[in-house]
Amino acid sequence: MATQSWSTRVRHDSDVFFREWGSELSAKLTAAGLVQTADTGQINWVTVVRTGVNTDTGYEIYKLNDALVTSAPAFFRINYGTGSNSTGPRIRIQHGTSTDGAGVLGGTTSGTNAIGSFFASANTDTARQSFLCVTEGFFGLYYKLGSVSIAEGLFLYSRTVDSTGTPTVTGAMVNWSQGVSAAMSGQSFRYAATAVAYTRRTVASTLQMCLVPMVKTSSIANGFNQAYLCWTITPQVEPLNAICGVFDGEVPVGNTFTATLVGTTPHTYIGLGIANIDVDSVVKPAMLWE
Amino acid sequence: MATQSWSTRMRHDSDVFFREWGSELSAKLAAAGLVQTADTGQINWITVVRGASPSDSGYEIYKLNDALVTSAPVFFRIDYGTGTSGTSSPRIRITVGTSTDGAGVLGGTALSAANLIGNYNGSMASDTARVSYLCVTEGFFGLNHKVNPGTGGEGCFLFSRTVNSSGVPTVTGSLVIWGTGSTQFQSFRYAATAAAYTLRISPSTAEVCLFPNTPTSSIVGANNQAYLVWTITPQVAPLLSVCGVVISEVGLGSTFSATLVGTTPHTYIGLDTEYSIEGSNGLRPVMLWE
Repeated sequence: MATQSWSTRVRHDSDVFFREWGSELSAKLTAAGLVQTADTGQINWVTVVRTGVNTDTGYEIYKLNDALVTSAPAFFRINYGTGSNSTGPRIRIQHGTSTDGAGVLGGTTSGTNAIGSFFASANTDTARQSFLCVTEGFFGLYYKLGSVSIAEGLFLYSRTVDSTGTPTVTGAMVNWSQGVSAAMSGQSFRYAATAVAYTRRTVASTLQMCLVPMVKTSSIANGFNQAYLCWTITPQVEPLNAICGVFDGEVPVGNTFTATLVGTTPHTYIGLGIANIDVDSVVKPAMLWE
Repeated sequence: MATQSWSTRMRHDSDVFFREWGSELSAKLAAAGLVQTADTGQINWITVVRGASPSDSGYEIYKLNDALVTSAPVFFRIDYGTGTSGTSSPRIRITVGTSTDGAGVLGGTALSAANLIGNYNGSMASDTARVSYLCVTEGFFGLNHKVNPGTGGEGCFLFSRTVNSSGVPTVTGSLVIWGTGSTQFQSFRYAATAAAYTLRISPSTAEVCLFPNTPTSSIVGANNQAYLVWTITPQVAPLLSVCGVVISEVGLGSTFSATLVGTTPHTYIGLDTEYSIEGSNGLRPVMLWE
């Protein structure tokens, strides 16, 4: 498993361009280490044609091929399609713990959440940065920085971890967002018996995944920026190791830093600069980058 | 140092009644272990008369006589007086500082103002008994004064020193929480370079306690969860002497045991529901009770 970073255009003003950005993302997901399943009905990037506004044109099914792939399988259905504008691309992602082999996820599942819905037309050759990381217990995608209007998309899947930071079968948290001014949404899951998909939260005041006590503009202590823990429930409150909050003035988009969030092993994180994640909307997420 | 709980009336419709509730609280503070200083000008409970609405009629100065009294002294100025709802409305205001000039003026690293901690629902002219809870112990002074269950109006003041990873109070700083219905917060650093951080006047901007996913219940197995309260120095650090609980799970005056920091369990007591400690109003503070 690995990281992927690329900067290319995203256009949706022809079938050729749709195939270009879709197949590109598909290839990147595979290169990062997600494993495409044999589910039937998956999109054919050679023949697919765009569909009407607000539709999914096709899908792919991937699994997180980490050490827990058998004991706590995690699948992702990625729907590629068209947003509310006929030349606006759209990506929606669903998470589940099983698949029926024909593209329908089951088990402990999330809804199908839009992570990139390019409201305005995407018909220029402007290069846009993307970051993708697939590693033990984590799949994070930051897609097409600074596209038209509020365009970039974010999807973060984080398994729960034990006190050493090692991913566990207990559960996971899924976060998604679109656009720099959009709120971070999230849903917590318990996989262990009794499995639960907790209430989906779409505003910071009820999501409450990250805490930034008292300060609003700077986290600097002893010359270093601080990384603010993100938390999920199983239903016991537990810290996550794959994502954290940072002030984007201290960790701009694409900048990396090292932190030890859980346990004693330091990890590298990359600033994302999208979607405030704390209750008072002052910090943005950073994700594992290794 | 010790706890004190009592249930008595609080009337403010004469000078006699003012002296009754004021001298009562004064005696309880001393009984719990706060030490009154020799500052000049302190209130005389034999001769004091009520002032106009609103005004402070007199003050007392106390110090927290814990193990850090010399290395990190903390003083409290308690102003007893009359509130804004007429001459029969009692009022308490508290200032915190790290020094006193010997004449009742606190200095050093101090709260930015004398802060109202009780308004008691305006005019107070009945003999209704109201319960109070007071705890003074190592690194902590907490008061929930004259609780009026169901209608609010009581006073709450919580002073908590920072602690090390074992839960032992440190000279680094403190967090002060108070309110008359809406909870307010201020963090302090006592160690060099000392700082009084920005006053926060709501739980959502203070962000001192996180309630992930904002569920209606925190129960895991047969136990409720206790949610950590955090301060800054400016490094984010958890506190030992206060935490958040789901309002319905720990009733007023109910106690429970939890291990918030380190390995030593401590006893905590539920306070009135008027005080929220996080932005969704799902958690209220509880305080050390030992």
